[in-house]
This record gives sequence, structure tokens and C-alpha cells, in this order.
Amino acid sequence: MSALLRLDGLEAGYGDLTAVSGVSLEVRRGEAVALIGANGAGKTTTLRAISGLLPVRAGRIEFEGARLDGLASARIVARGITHVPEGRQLFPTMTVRDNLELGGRAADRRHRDDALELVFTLFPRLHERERQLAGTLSGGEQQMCAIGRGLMARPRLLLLDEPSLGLAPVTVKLIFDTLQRVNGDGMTMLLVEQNVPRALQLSHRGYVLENGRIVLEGTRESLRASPHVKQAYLGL
Amino acid sequence: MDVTLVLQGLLSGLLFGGVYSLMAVGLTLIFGVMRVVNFAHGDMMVWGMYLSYLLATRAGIDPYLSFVVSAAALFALGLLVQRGLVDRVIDAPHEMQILLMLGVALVLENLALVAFGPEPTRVRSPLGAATLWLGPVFVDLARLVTFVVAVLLTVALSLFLYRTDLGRTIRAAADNTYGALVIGIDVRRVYAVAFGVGAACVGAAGALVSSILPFQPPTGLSLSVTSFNIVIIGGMGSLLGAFIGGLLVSVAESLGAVFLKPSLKELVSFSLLIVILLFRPAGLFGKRTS
Amino acid sequence: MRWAVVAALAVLLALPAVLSSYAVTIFILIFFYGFLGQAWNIVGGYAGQLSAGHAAFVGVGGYTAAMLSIEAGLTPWVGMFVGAALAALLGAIIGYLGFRFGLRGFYFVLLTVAFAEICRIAVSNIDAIGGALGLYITFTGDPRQFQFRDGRVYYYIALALMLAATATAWAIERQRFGIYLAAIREDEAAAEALGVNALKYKMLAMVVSTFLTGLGGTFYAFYLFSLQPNTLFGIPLSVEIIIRPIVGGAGTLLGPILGSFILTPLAELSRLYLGQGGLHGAHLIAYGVLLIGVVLFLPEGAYPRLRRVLQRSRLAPFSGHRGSDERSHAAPVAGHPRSEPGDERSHPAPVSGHLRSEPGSRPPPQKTLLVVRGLSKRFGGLQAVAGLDLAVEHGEMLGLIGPNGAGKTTVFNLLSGFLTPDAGDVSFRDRSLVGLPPHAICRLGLARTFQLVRPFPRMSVLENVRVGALARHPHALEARARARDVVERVGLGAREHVTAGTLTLAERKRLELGRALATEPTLLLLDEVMAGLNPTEIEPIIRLIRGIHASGVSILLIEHNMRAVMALSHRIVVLSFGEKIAEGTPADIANHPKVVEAYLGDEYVRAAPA
Repeated sequence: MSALLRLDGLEAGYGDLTAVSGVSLEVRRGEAVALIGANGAGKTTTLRAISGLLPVRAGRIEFEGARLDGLASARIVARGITHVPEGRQLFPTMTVRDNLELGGRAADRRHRDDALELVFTLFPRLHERERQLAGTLSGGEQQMCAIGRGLMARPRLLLLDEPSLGLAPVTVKLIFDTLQRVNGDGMTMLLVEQNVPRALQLSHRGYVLENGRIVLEGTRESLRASPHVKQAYLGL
Repeated sequence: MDVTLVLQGLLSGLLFGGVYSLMAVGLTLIFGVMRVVNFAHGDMMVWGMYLSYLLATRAGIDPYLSFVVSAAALFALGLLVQRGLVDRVIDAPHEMQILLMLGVALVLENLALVAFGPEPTRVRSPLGAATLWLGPVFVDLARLVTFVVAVLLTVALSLFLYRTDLGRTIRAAADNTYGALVIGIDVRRVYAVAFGVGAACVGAAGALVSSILPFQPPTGLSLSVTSFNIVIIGGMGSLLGAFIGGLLVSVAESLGAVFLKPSLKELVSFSLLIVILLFRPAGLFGKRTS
Repeated sequence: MRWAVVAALAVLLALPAVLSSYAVTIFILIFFYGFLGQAWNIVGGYAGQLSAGHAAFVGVGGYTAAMLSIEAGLTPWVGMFVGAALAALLGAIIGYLGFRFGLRGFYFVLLTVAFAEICRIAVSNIDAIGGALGLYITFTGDPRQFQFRDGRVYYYIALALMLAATATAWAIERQRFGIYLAAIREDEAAAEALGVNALKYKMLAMVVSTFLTGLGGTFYAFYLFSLQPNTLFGIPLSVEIIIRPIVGGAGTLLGPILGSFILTPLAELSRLYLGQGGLHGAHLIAYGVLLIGVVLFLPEGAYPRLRRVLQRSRLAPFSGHRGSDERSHAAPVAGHPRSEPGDERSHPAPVSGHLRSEPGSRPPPQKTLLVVRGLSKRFGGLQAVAGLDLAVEHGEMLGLIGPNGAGKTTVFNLLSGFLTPDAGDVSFRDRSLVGLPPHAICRLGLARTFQLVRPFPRMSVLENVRVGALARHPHALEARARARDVVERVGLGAREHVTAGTLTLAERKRLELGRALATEPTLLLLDEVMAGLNPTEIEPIIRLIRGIHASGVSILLIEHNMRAVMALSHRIVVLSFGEKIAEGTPADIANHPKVVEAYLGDEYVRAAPA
């Protein structure tokens, strides 16, 4: 399998803080890969660097064999990567439908309608709330809307940042089941998640970040068995 | 107090309010998207007036047609101001943005002064003389047309913002800039377009009002102040608030002129502003920010 | 510097003897606008509250003195103080209206503009005070009526006004008042957290500023012998007042004067040369361009730039001190070798062994310091904190942990007065804190740090800490001495004169800690002081917190670094979805199934070996 996304020695940060350095990883076509680690380990930073929301200070990012680092976020979306950010970042005073359409605005009308239909099939709840303002949705619905918005652009790689954050267990299950389905249909995913069991259930492989570096990588099974993962979270 | 007089005041206030609304919608659009207050708003409007004046005197084009040209010219000016100046202070403290825009206002106002002199001007339109009688009250035809066109433009603007992709990206950037970046919206371009559209609003408003309201370069300042007033009353960043606020302030001023005296009319709208700032600082339609 | 000032004063005093009367007029205007700029500077520069309606206070002062003189025969020498007092009263009212709601930035600008416009319209419509035509003062040449045949007298009066305003600003600058104003300007919330009553000091600044501005009104009226509402209350005069201090450097002592020396002659000359021949407004175009240029290229004003140029030329040999090596790169470069699952080698050395405290060795707590009951807060649809009960004993170190979004920072905001609870009570040393503003809570002895550190970026390390020290030591010098101790204690002694904005993150965290510590709290709330730091930076911070605790300060800390929180805390409270799900010793918490579940999910609990 060829690597769809490859990070090589990535360094990025905020101001004088270097949040990640020397991060190298790859995501192959069709895979779901988890990036796990405690708060402040650099997971979100890595995603933001990939999607061009944060400048890359060193290292390189390749997508489908072409360099991505240095491109503006708009260009990166156009290349086929969408980012479902932490905290959802919807447009609260716009309708669910508007939010979704904004995600797919690059496509022509027919493709957009297809994508919309797909999203509504995945999340029937969004269909029901099509005309409601995004700011008035429940947390779980907002997360669905954010994922749907990301899917509307018909990306080849979906970056997901903490999709379970602040949600009740039932909702988390629903969202992860849907993500599994989307991945099963061929969507490549890179997932940042604090809910380790959920993340590992969805992903084929994973990387563990600690203090801005990758300290562990492995398959789902090997990570599940690792005492290191528990240590990374609870510091015991 | 004569009832007819009050009715007349109400009506002319309402009709003039269309222009106020268009002007305030432009300001609130710029503020809503960029969080920058366009202190040159009124001066841009005065340039819209002078453009229609030039087109009327030099080319014989009626202001009710030339407003399209004024709007286009002001769109370009707004775009330039955003790209060349505002964009560079977009993350600077508010006071720096305010000073920058004050500088732009000074330049625009005094360029007009140099170009057209200090005398009050007014554009002649054949509509200016015609009146319609509706029972006891009369309607100035020019005001009626101005009102209708201003309202139509406001409606067109909201259709643009609510029905087109570009319009939606503008609203999205106003709603959540980071969210807009995340989904790949070119926010800098959106800013430039939004500033251009906001300026085009006053370009059109200026042309539309140029046959009703005598103007001179300093008129810009009082128009700026009036638009701030409206936008705060309506709620900064709220399009609906700006629209309703424009009508409200215009009616209030008009009634103030009837009940008090014409030179005191602005006192009414400023008092309204103080009351709003005291009891509902976010404005009538604004959201409270903590 | 001192001699330069004395020499400059001597020159200014002697100048009228050699100047032409036109030159004297220009100097009068320089002084007068320098004076108005300095008066504005106190609220607009030092306190950072951009009043754009200061002309109104000139108008009120001038009209009052003129009316008193015309109608009641009161000499303007007295009338000017009556006018100034009236201006100050109006300033207090408008300031209260604005500041009470925390109207900031453009809202305050628009409020002041609106207020000035109301004054202008009102005055234009009161015929008893001249209406739109204004007032004219008959020239008598009587010094008792503030009238002089010799223009040089106005020169000295204007100079005296400018010097008086500058002396006032100078005095403010060196006292707690001025230091607090600077803190408010830099970051009002951070200042509040350090015990600064922002409302009170902004009001004071407004009153002093508008009083001085009101004095200027009398000078204006009796120098020009006429008062017109449009010129005296108009926005153009307000802009004239603002532009000089900004061009010169707002919030600096000499900025307004420098600005006036640059702009006033420029304005006069361009009015003289460009204003003729029908080119009205040309000089104002130049003005506008200048303003744009200052914002784009000289955003802090001319004076700070000038000062730096002067210092650089004087301190050239020592420039290495303030040079490029201010950032330390503490991050270790050598990476962890990537390891296979289950490999223990790459795991960072456990710090818990030697850091864990012995709770048994503490003296028994006397009385509960902080008692929280049923604390609740809702944001829209989100119940951020739900019925939280919490107690901190004297001398205790309590950890507050929980997954992202559990409501920990909201709890801190509720305790420190930045948020008001929907329900519940907070009692600190047997006093309810609910409804108290942050500065009052700080003065009662409860200090906090912010998760995203909020240093006053343009102040030095020492000045930052001094803001905190002033809460207990109102005298600026004494506070400075105390601040120096604290700076030393948090390990920033070598960096005390460095501007806070240029510190590294680890240093800023220490500064944040030092500032809170300088308020001499009984209870210190620490919000993620270790977040974003690397292991080598964390260990000294842990030692520092230990030391602070050992000196008798009780501590409540939010921390994501589990090793640190487990090592430091006597007890730990775990929040999830705004509710307390567990409470106990670090050992209890680590094995508490609910905690493991909250962090790792329920499957993990089932899968984990008992």
C-alpha cells in the first residue's frame, strides 16, 4: 500500500513554544490511523500543521507524493484534505444546511447534492435539523454537523480532532460507528483522540505522542496491550 | 400638536430611513466580518454623492441611474482601503485600527474639500419636484423612489449574503473566522470583498440621497456618526439590527424635528443611543458577548 | 536627562524675548495643544481608554468660565476652576456610564463621540448661552479678566499649563495610580486578578484628565475671545487633541509634547501656505496621511522610538545585554528512541518517587480555609459546573483534575470572581465571595494564575510583579523592593529588567506565578502552570510550588501533568462534565474505576488488570 500522507521530521509550534518536533508518520490509503497522547502532547498541533493552519517550521509534509508544507489552508483543502477541528468550529448563526454547503462549496451543484445526500444518509439527524441554526444544536449534533461539513468536500483524507470531546457515551458510540462506516467505504482518516479505546477500535494503527514527540507506534492490538498507553494518560 | 404634522413627520422619517438602513447595513457588514469600525464610512458616502453630482452635471445622468456607478466605484475604493491599509492592522489593537480609519476619513473628506470646495451642493433630479398626495399627507416622489431603491438594494444584499456561495462565505467568516479557515475559505479575499460591498452600500446610498440632502465635505462626519449610532442601537454586526435601526433612528429624528425643533433632531437619536448603551449595550438585535 | 530638561525650560522661558509675534503665536499653540494632549494622555494614553470626545470638556470649561464672567462678573481666574470642576463632573458621569459596563475599544470611542455631539447640539440650541452663534468676549485688556495686551503673557500661561499637566502626569506615573493604569491598559482582567480596582482607577484617570481639559477651555475662550459650539465641542477639535499624543507616543510622559512640537507647526505652516488660494483642507490631507503613516510604521509613536535611538547610541557597548540571546532553548534535542510496544526504556524517568510528599508529616489543619457548596454554572446549553462541593484546608495542597472540558477553569473563574455562579456559595475564611469583583477577592488573600499566561507584555518582569506587590504595599518603592524579592524567589532575578513580552514560555509561567505570589495570598489557585513545558522545565516548577507551599500558602491546582499533580497534591478532586466524580488521596484516585473510566473510557476499566 502506498502512503497517502507522509510526515517527515515535522516541527511546529506557537510563538516561542515548540509544540511538536521530529514527528514522522505516514497514513496509507484507506487506513484509519490514531494519534493519541495526553493533553499538550502536540496532537492538535500536528493536525493543524498538516492542514496549513499553522506554519511548518521544519520537516516536510507530502500528500499523494506532492509537498504540502507552505501551502495556505485553502489550497490544502483543494488538494483533498479536510479538517474536522476540535471544538467543531461551526458557523453558529447559520443553518445546518448552510454549514454543510459551505463545506462542499468547491464542488458543482450536482456533486454537492450527492455529497449532501450521503451526509444525510450517514446522519439522518442532520436532515431533520437541516433548517435549524447550528448554534442551537446539541453537542453531539454539532459534532455530526462538523464531520458532515468535512465530508461535503469529498476529501481523500479526513483529519479528525477529538470528535468525542464533551459528548455522552451513547453519542460517542454513534459517531464512532458512523466513522467506521465511512472508513469502511474507503475514506482515509487521521484521528486525534483522548478516548483511547474508541480511537483504537476505529483505527488500524496508531502513534503515541508525548511532549511533542512520537514515543510509540504500532498496530491496534499492540497498542491495546501496551501499559505505556495507560501511563501516558494517567501518569502512573 | 397637529396630527397631520406628526403623520407627515413619521412618513418622511420612514422614507428617509431607507437610506440610513442601507448605510448602516454597509457599516455593520464591515464590522461583523472584520471587527473593524469604518470611521471613513460617511466620507465614503459623501464621495458617492459627489460622484453622482459629477455624473449628473458632466454627463447628465440622473442619480437614480448613476447610483450603480457610484456603488461600483466605492466597491473598488473599499477593496483598496482593505487590501492596502486595513489588512495590515487586522490583528492590531482597536485604537490603532480606529486611528488608521480616522486618517482615511481625514484624507477622503479633505480631498473632497479640495476638489469640490466647501459650498453645500445638491443634485437636481426631475423627480425632486414631484409630490404625491395621500389624503392629508404628501409624499415627496424623490424620497419615495430613494426609499424603494434603498430597500431593494438592502434586500438584494441580503439575498447575496444568504443565497450565494460568496455571500455565505462572507457570513461564515463573520460567524467564525477560524472555522472559515478550517474549511479552506480564503479569509483575506473575503475581507476585501466584504469591505468593498460595505463601501458600495454607501456609494449607492450617497447617490440616492444626493438629490434630497444638500451636502458638503463635512457632511461625511455627521453621516459616520449617525451610522455608528444606528449600528450600536441595532446591535453591532447584526444586519437586521442595522436595517431596523436605520428606520428607527430616521423616524426618531424626524419626529424630534416635529416635536422639538429641526436643529435638535439629532439630540433624539443620540439620547436613544445613550439609553441603549446603558441598558442594552449589545443593541436591540445584537448578541451579548461576555 | 535632568540637565536637558532644565536647559530646555530655560530656553523656553527666554524665547519670547527674541521671537516675532507670529512665532510666539505658534509657540502658544504648541504649548496649548501639548497641554490638551497631555491631559488626554492621562486617560487615553496611560489608562488606554480612547476618549474621542474630549473637545466637549474644553467646551464645558470654556463656556462655564465665559458665562460666569459675562453674566456674574466672576473673574475667569476663579471661573476656570469652576469650569474644570464641571468638566470633571461630566467626565465622571460619562466615564461611569462607559466603564461600568466595561465598554471598551470602539464602544467607548463611540460613547464619547456621542456625548460630545449631544453637548454640541444642546449648546447650539440654548439661546441663553449664545446658541449656534456662540459667545463673544469683549476685549478689555484687563489681566483680572484673563486678558492681556501683550501676547507673551499668553505664551507663559500656555507654557505653565503644559508644564502643570506634564507634572501631573509625571506624578501619576511614579505612583501606584500610574502603575495600575498601565496594568489596566495592558490587560484589564489580569490587573483585576492582581487586586487592581479597574473601575476606580479608570474613573480617577477620567476625572483628572477632564479637569485639566476643562481648564484648557478657559484659556481657549479668553485667548480667542470667542466661543462657537461647532469649534469648541466639535469632533475636529477632539481629533486635534488625540492626534498629538498618539503621534508623539501615547502613554509616555514626553509623547504629547513631542507630538505637539511636530504637528502644531506643521499644521500652522501648511494652513498658511496650502490654506491660501482656495486649497482648503490640503493640510488636513497631510494630517490624515501622517496619521495613517504613524499607525502603519510607528505604531508606538515618535517618543519611544526616539528614546530607543538615544539609548542605543549611548549604551552601544552594552547592547549585548538586551540583544538576541534572550530566548533560551531548553528543549532537549535528542529524541526518545522509538520503541516497540511494551518496551519500557523510552518511558521518561518516573519523578513520583522522590517528589511525592508525605501527607502525614504536615501539621493538622486548623480550620477549613475555602468551602464551596453547590456551586453551579451554566453556559447556554452546557452545564459547565454542576453542584460542586469542595473544601480546601489551611496548609493543604489540593489537586483539581479532569478530562478536557470538565469545567475546571470555570471553577477557578467562579472562585476568583471572573464569573458569577448561578447557584451555590463560596466561603473563604468565613466570608462569602459570591458577587465580589476579582480585585476584592484578591485583596482578601485569594490569588490566581491564568492558564494562558497573561503577562503585561510591555512592562518589565519587575514591573509586572510590582503590580501584584502594590496590593499589599501601596507605596511604589516599597512594592518594588518586595517585587524584587519575589522575582528572585521565582528564579527570574537575572531577567528582572527584561520586557515580559520577550520571555520564553517557561519564564512567563514563572512570572505569572510570581505576580500572583506578590499579592501575598493565603490561597493560591494555579491553573495549569506546567502546561506546554518540557520535563526539564517542569521539575524546577514543581520545586518552586513546593517552596511556596512550605512558606505557608495553601494551594489549589489544576494540572494536566498527572505525574506532577499526583506528586504534589495531598488530596485530589476529579471533575467530569462539571461534576465531582471522585475525591481522595493520589493513590485512591489513581485506582478509582470512575477516574480511569473518565480518562480512558469504560472498556479500559473492564480490560485493565485489577
